[in-house]
Amino acid sequence: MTAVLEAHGFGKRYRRRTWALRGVDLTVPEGTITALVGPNGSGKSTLIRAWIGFERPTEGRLVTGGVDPRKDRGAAVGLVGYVPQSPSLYGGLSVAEHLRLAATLRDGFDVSLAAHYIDRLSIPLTALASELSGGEQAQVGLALALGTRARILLLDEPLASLDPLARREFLHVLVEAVRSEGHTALLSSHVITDIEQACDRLIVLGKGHTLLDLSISEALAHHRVIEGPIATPIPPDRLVGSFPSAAGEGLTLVRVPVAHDVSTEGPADGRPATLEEVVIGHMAAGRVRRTPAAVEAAA
Amino acid sequence: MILTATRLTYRINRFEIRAVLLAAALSVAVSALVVSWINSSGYVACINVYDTPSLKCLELMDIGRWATRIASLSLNLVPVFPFLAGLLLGTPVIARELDRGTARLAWSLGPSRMRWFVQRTSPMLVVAVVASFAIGFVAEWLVALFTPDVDLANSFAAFHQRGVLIATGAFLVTSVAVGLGAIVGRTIPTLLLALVLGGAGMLAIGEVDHKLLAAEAVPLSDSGGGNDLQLDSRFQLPDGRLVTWEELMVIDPHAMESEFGIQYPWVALGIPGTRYREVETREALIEVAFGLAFLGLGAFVVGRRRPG
Repeated sequence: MTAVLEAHGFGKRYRRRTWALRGVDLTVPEGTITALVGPNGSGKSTLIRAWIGFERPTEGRLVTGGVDPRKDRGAAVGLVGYVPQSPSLYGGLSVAEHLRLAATLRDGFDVSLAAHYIDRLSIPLTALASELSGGEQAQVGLALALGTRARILLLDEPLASLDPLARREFLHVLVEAVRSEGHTALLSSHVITDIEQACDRLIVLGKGHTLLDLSISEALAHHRVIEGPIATPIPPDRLVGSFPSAAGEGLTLVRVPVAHDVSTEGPADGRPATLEEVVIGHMAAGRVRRTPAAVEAAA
Repeated sequence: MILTATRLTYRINRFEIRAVLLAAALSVAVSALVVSWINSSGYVACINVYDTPSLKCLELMDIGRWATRIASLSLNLVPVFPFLAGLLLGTPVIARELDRGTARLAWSLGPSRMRWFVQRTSPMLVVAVVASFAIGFVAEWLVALFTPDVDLANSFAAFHQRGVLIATGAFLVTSVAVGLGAIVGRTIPTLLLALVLGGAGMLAIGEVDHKLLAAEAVPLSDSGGGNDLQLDSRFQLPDGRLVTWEELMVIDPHAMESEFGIQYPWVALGIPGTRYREVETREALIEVAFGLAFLGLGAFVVGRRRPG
């Protein structure tokens, strides 16, 4: 499958001291909806902004739809529809005026398509942006991105400020648009349930680099969770990380071979991991040292 | 497309545009009323009359004084207008968009930031120049009314207070605010910085221009009246040389000791009124050139910076 977003040894350092990301190697295949997950400060926004040319890599190289955004930012922007965490609409303009504004800025912007999505989300075209809720503003941001008819969509935590219903509507429109148009979307989010519903691929960032890069089904098939203390030693290469459950019970995420035989598994093999546990386990691994002693202590 | 972009820029910055246009319209309307009344009432014949006023002039004097005060106030505010209009129109164009994050939306939608820059700045520059040109034109009208004997095309009367220099001054300040806004990216700091740098810039241009003019100064004849731009003065020695006071004290230390004061003739140096249009055009071009430099700086920064 062709990769439309690529990072090769990508690193970004701010103020000559702090590395937001370093040594990131990943690819986003064409036609997928990929979730980009990681704790606050893990560099998700930096990576997304770099793919659209808003950040310049300190080291390494990025590719956006075959274009290096550092060398040709205009071409990269032309291939991308971008939805930032805060849509930052023009407060004094109506929704319809935002669509016309987009048409003046981008040749080929499809005003009627964007208006169609706005209409589906029941947002009045005549409403001023300042009168819209945060959720509605995010949805207008999505409609603007879809109106570009760009084949790559970069969505930087657009769900953060949305209520559950608005999140559901947002994702529904996104998934439908991506599937019908054959787009590729990269969605950064903290909300794992939404990712599970909408995405088919998962990238976990932590400690400034890639912790996991798999399809959702692979991520679920390749991980298991052991509840409570670990009875038998686990090989270091299988141990991912330990973290507490919502009830405070110690959980340990372990990797399993691809061909895991469920019929022969014993209690030491644990139970199937949920996507949330996969994500949290890898995020925990990115935060603490992965020594058996630390794992035992956490468990 | 251009019309739509212009209309949207107007909608985005409607408060600032309306404020500037309203102030300009008000100034033009009041000045037109004053000029119209002075002409229609016959008070024009009473201006600059130092003999015993006629009975009609005495009758019109009360209203005439008010009309004159309003006209003077309007003329005194003219040099301030391009400064305020430039700050008000230039600051929000880039700085506020970076401040509020709308630049990020626009830059993610449009592959060409230059198109966005031109779409945003052009209407604001046009408003600044047109409004200031109207103010400068009306100011010229008022000056002509109160100095009917002066040919304003050949006179430095009310220099910097009338004509095209008001418009080019507004262009310069607007461009400075646009350029600084692109660098600073915050509205209030840009406003303050543009206030300081715009003022300093105009003073600097005035100073440079003064030096250029001083280098070209010639002895002024008495017949120039109030039309010439006097820049300096010298004492004329019997051999025709022109010297400063300090030079004179070295040449003739006893020059002050005469009971009739200094006996050397005093000569005014400056630019004859006949060169007014030439000097005005040169200064206008300098302001436009500096303005374009700041716009270029703004465009360069917009093309390279992060959207905030």
